Formats: sequence, C-alpha cells, structure tokens
Amino acid sequence: MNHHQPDDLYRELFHDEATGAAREQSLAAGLTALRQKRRTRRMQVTALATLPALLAASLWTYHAQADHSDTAAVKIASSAAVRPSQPVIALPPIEKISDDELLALLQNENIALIGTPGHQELVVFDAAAPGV
Amino acid sequence: MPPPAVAVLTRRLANGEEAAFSEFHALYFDRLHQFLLIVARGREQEAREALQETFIRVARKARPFDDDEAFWCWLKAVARNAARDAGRKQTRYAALLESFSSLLRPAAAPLPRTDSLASVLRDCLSELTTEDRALVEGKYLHGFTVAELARQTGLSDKAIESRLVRARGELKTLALNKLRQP
Repeated sequence: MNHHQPDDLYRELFHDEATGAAREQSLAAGLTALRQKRRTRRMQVTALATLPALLAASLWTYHAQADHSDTAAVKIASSAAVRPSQPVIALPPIEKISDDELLALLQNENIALIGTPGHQELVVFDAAAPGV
Repeated sequence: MPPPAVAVLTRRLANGEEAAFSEFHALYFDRLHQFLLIVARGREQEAREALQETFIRVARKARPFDDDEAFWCWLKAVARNAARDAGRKQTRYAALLESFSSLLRPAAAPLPRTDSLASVLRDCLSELTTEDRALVEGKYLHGFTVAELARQTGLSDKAIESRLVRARGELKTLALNKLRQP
C-alpha cells in the first residue's frame, strides 16, 4: 500500500457519510477562511497606501489651522486698537486734497480752521445739534 | 507530486487563490485524514474536527514551500496542533479528570509510534483469518475483482462481497483498537 496515493482500503474503511460531510465542510470552511484572509490583507494594503496621504492631510490641516489662528490674532489685535467691538469695514484709498479743495467741498457748512499753520484742525459747527 | 508542482501550488495558496485551495483540498484530504486518525488515536469524530480546523489554518497561514517533504512536514505540524486543540475542546471534562489522574502517573502516554495508517492496517491484516486476509489482500492490494476472487475461491460473488464487508468491519475495529492503545 502506498500511502502517498489514494488508498482503496482506507477509503472502504473510513469513507462514510460523516467523512463525506467533513470533506464538504472542511472545503467550505477553508474557502471562507481564505476569503477572510484576502479581505484582511486588502484592508491592510489600503490602510498602508492611504497612511501617507492621511499623514500629509493631517499635517496640512494642522499648519493651515496654525496659520489661520495667527492671522486671526493679528486681525483681532489691529481692529481692537482702532475701534474695539466694531467690525472692520473696507475703506476706499485715502486721497489727499488741499485746504482750498476741502473748503470748497464744505462751502455750505459752518466750518473753521483752528490752530497754527501746519497744525490746524478743521472744526465743523453742527447747526442741528440741540442747545447750540 | 513533483517539487515544482508543490512550489507552484503553495505559492498560489499563499496568494489566497481559491482554485489552489480547492486543488490542495482534493489532493491532501485523504492523506491528512489518515494522519489525523493516527494522531487522534482512532477517535474518528475528533479526527474529522481536527481535519476541518487544519484546512482553516492552512488557508490562513499558507506559505510557499519548495518541495513536498517540507510542505508535508509543515502540514503535519499544523494538523497535530489542530488535533491537540480539537481534543482539548472535545474532552474538556475528560482533561480535568486526566489532570488529576496524571498526578498518579509517572509520565504522559507516548505519541503513536507510526504516522502511517497504511502500516497499521497492514499489521491488522495479519490478525484476520487466513481466508479473510486473502480476500482483503486480493481485492485491495492485488487489485482482483469480486468475480475473479469468486472464481479463485469457488464462492459466489455475493458470498465474496458479504465476506469482504465482514472482513472490512473487523479490520476497521482492529485498526481503531490498535490506534487507541497507549
């Protein structure tokens, strides 16, 4: 009897219904285990492949948040110095005009320039103000 | 199976190919079953459970082997571990009793002396009657048909078949008893 080949006597003695069922069950169980193994391996490969991208994304998010908080801090500090508790309003660029041009713009107002030359202040008298 | 075939098969198994697993199962089921009958000392149910567990473990842990001998050695180790675990599971209470009784014994029972069911069957053949042994050997070792055996012995085909059934039953009992011996 060569035990390396299927053996008729062994089959006659030990191949019954239970062995037949064991044959089918072991094949099915093995194939299931194989599929699970493949699934696990796929997940591991996917995780390994996406890990650098995730790390890069995390680093980028971290830096972006750090930059944003720095900028926000500067904005808050500068706006607090100008007008606390008021939103920052975008203004048009400042255009320099001469004294004469200024007076021409305000010719219908009660105004006066007070002070020494070079350090004068423009005062507007508000006629509508009560008690004035 | 020549070495390249094993190398290819085990590589495909390690890669998780289902067709390779089916092929492996067909090729090694009988061989592993025979081996596990020895390891489980003739306890057929235990051998079958261990067999299923062996195939599951092979599916999970398969790796490439270059030759059949190395692969078979690895398979035997996997099967032996599976049988040990299956035996533990099945006989938990018995193991408890065993642990008590082992205190009274000087050493654990030795492992089976052989890993070949064929050699056990060969030994048991000699314990059959001369006529039965001649019939079993004629049918299974020399490849005679029932009709040829009937012609040689002068018995009817039915009588030969009936005697073969009885001889096989006796041979199986002898083999299982032999395997159960310490």
